[in-house]
Amino acid sequence: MSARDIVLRFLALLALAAGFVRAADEPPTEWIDAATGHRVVRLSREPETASLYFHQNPFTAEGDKMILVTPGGLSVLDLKTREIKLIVPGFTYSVRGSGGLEVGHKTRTVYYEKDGAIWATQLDTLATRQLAKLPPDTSMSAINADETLAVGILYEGPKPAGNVGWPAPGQIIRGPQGQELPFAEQREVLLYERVQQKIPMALFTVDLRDGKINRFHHSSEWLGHVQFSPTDPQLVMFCHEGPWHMVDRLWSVRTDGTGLTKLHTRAMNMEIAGHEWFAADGRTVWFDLQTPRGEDFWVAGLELATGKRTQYHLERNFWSVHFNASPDGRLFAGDGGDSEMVAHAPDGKWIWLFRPERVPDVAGIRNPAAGNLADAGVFKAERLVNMAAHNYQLEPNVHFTPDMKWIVFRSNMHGPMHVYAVEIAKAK
Amino acid sequence: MLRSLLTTLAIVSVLRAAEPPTEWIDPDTGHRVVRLSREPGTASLYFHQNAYSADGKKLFVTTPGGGIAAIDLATREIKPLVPGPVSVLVAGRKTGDIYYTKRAARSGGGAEAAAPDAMGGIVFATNPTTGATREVVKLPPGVSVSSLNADETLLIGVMLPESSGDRGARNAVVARGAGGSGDARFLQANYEGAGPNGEKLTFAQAKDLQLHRTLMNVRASPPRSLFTLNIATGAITVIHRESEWLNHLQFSPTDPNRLMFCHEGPWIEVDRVWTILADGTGLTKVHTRTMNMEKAGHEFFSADGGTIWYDLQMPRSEVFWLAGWEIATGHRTWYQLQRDEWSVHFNVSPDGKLFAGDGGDEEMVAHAKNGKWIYLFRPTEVPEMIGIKSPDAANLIHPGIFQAERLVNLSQHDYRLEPNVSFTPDMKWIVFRSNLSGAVHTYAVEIAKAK
Repeated sequence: MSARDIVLRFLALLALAAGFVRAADEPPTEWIDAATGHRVVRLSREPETASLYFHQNPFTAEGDKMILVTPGGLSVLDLKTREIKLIVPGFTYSVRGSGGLEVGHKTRTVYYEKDGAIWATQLDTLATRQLAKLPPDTSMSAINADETLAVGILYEGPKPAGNVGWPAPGQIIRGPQGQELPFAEQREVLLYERVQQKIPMALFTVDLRDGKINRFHHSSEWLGHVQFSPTDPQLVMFCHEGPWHMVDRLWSVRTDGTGLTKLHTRAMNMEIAGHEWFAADGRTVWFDLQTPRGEDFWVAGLELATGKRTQYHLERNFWSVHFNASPDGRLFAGDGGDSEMVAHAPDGKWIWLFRPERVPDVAGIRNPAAGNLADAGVFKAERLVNMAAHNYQLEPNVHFTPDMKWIVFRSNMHGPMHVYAVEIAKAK
Repeated sequence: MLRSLLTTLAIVSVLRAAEPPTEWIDPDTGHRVVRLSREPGTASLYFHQNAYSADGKKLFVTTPGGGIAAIDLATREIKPLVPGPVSVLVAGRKTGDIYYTKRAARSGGGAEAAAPDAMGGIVFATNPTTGATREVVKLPPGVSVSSLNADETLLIGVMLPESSGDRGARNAVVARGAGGSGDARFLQANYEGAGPNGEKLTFAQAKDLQLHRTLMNVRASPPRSLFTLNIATGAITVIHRESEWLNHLQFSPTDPNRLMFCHEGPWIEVDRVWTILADGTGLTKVHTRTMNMEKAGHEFFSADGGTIWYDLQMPRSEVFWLAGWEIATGHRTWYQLQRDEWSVHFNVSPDGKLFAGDGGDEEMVAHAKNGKWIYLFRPTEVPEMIGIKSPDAANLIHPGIFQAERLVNLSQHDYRLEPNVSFTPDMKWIVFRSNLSGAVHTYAVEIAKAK
């Protein structure tokens, strides 16, 4: 290597380093992903801005505005001008959570929990009102389709202490032979112990018109992930928390406590189902299904009215910690996963677009009972964003925009958390 | 020097094309492969037909004229046993004799005269050591048998209805049994055809379409009968009757009273795998479909007779399992396979600990890009998590994974001949048939890697 080469290389390194420093300070606002050919735009301006959990609705029905949470509080983004306005200063949001705020499906209103009460802010006028007090030690999970009810979970006795499911500082969980368990398994043990405590819980609704509290579905299972149907104002979906291969996770119930339904029944040991969500039309519940865990991957759907099941098969690399469906139900997306996560995917760090395809009949031959069997299909995947630089301790959580032209996600790929959108059409 | 060496190699290759090698170490797998047959057209049996003598020392094969030979697995001596044409049944589990059907003398030519056993046939058994042949039982006209039970007291067969409207099925049987309209290299018919939109179908699609048409004929016809034939008395007892295409009759290798049969047809269309007791009781559907385009087939008993194994795809061409159903408990174990590892037939070792597969080409159901191999599979468990399990775990399907090892490169093999793997009784070799060097021969690959 000549002295000139060495100098050139040194300069190149310096340039690279400077690039990183600048990137850490101010990530790019727009680029075309070199690996995918898709345009990515940064929607957030301030570092540590969060988009919502995948099944929380962040969009107005008209599709022109989206809420996000900036360091200053709850903010609203104009999707056309990309202008961000702080609307609820001091509002905080945990990116590990899945409740506490949601935009109404009908009116241009965001509902959120603050200071032990449920509040509503109109997204144009910013008119804000307190709607109802929450019972002590409870939280709001979701808003129903006609914006008359909020739903949440409460403890019918003492709340479990500590940060449930996470080891306390300095705590090490050991296996049956005394060995220190991998972190993920330590968490599974703590989740298991929490399930075994059989702490009495219940779901409740708060009537947003008169503040009336209605407790329903009393249970000593560990209730979580409460969601309202986007179309049926009385239909609630919730889960039994705990290790996914142990619990029957997916359930629905009506707000009067009737109609309790297990939405998926395990056929295989180590089969897991979870990260469930409602299709935009409210007819189908979709979820991550693995038969068995870590080996065989599906996005599975249950049509609520008919019980008809659909299963789309995924390759290991396509598995995503969360999936979502487009408003018209024709496309799916996923936020990928790293090689330590349940799929152990060697090349799974991508934002994915999925086009479902039915498994074709053979030479026109069909099973006579086909109508009563699960429909089978596969996802054809397209990579949208290279997430190689993303640390999956933050889960990206994909959402389709209402116009179905973009997919919104959060990422730390440039250091601090920002909110991004990737265009579904390829850049010209 | 180098040039002359290359010339020599080229000459050796030419010679090999004419006369395939008798032994080599597969450069891609490191496993020793041995050609057991000398005469082209010598084939090992279908994967679930017992092909080994009771002492485990001899392998029965079919010879080009439709006869039977025994190959000594230690000395590789080939002993012609039965002149053709005969239809081989199985090797008896008790005596180790090879059972086969010899048809009565044919009268004249034509397809009708070749219909199986129209004139009646005789089941014989020949001892591989002494060569002695005994007549087992005479078959009435129109009756043929396919399998023999574990204590060699019962034969099993399917009777077609008298006024048979399902001529197609008869002809399909003829084609399969005699090599018929097919190509002798492949031991099955040469399926061709056009799809609903007039497109040319692949061999596999055309085969499914032909199966479908035959099935429709069978279902529109009077019922077929599954019967046992008592070897001691000659009594025929119908144990099951239905308008389904009953096929693939297999007796348990250990329980003289248990047998398995299938509903033949396109696998996505039928509930294929069934078991029944020899007295006609205990009819059980072994696998129930839950998904459209799910298919199960190529079923076989474990050597201890305790488990029925089968190829399970849910859905077809997408997710691949070898599924097992424990007869006594109903407990299910499923081993997952990668697409390239899917095999047209699987088999299990005598001790039940290892599995093998004969691979498949890109046109076959798995559409595997790199599936033309003889495979060895070691089952592994999906680990349970530190004692945390579903409360219902014991009643659920028990999943596992096959760890695959490639044994023989079959890139030169034409899969219209299905290789059909079986483990030798000493569990050191896997036997298969192949046209990898042109003509059909019987080969064995050593399970241990060559030093």
